[in-house]
Amino acid sequence: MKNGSPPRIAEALLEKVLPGDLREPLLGDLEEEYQQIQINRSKQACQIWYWRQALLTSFHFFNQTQKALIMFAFSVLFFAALTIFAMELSGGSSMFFDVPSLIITLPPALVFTLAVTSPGNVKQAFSCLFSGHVDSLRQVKSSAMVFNVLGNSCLWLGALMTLLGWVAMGSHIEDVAVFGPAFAVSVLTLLYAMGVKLVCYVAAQRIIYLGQGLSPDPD
Amino acid sequence: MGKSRFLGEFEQFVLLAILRLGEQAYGTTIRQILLDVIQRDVSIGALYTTLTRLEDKGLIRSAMGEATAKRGGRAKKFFEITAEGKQALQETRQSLDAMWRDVKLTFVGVK
Repeated sequence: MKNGSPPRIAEALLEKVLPGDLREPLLGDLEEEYQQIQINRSKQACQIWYWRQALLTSFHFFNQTQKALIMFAFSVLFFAALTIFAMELSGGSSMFFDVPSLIITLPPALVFTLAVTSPGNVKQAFSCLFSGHVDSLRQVKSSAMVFNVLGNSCLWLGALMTLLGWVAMGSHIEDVAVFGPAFAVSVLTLLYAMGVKLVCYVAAQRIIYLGQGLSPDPD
Repeated sequence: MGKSRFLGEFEQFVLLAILRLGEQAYGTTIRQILLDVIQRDVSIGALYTTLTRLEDKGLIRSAMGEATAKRGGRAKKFFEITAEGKQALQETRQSLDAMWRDVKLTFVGVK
């Protein structure tokens, strides 16, 4: 009797986390056992059993196969924690948050990056960064370029928007009540842009480091 | 003479399971025999971590079988114990026997 298939999401999780050489035998073993236990267990019990195996197995292999993702996430979190700490020291973090300042820098920079490279290159760049694996020097070059374009576009947009804000402020310089907050927001735009540039710089350097030792691509 | 190596408890169980299963030793059957004989329900991930370690140490070797439909078209990975693996098991057993010699366990309230 042919029974139901294992939970698709749990299977996808394992496919992502397992090392390449264990993917086929381990997923096959789990599927075989899943089919066996369906004879005397309910569908829900079988799915719980599969999810338990998938989560425990992912826990075993996550550190081994996703080290690059963990380290990158850790460095970004560390950077964020230090930034928030510095904000608190300078009189509270609430004055540093302004969504429009982020909206006028990051989304346009992403559009520029998509225009200069391609959606496939952007996807590949993030995939290389999070998996910690690059296949060829061509991939290294295109992925590093994605982060360079994203970071530089963001920085230039931030500078441009800041100058734009200063022009607006200059035309209302007599109104001190408006001038102060407007100046803060314009500088905040530059601050966000520099933060994005820093993360993109680290990402590009990480990709270049991953590509060390790869032999040149055949023409 | 090679350096003697002692095996951990779970490593011994896995090697013994492979020996008992013979040509049918792969993930599912090893997990099943561990559950049936010593009532140890290990996750498939923990089992493969140990199998990979044993293979890296040269105590077992593996070979891929053919894909079957009941496994979603995926192949089995069969395991076989090497001569070095058998020797490691033997040495561990001898060491344990030597340590157990002349040892008497006594429990309070139990004769």
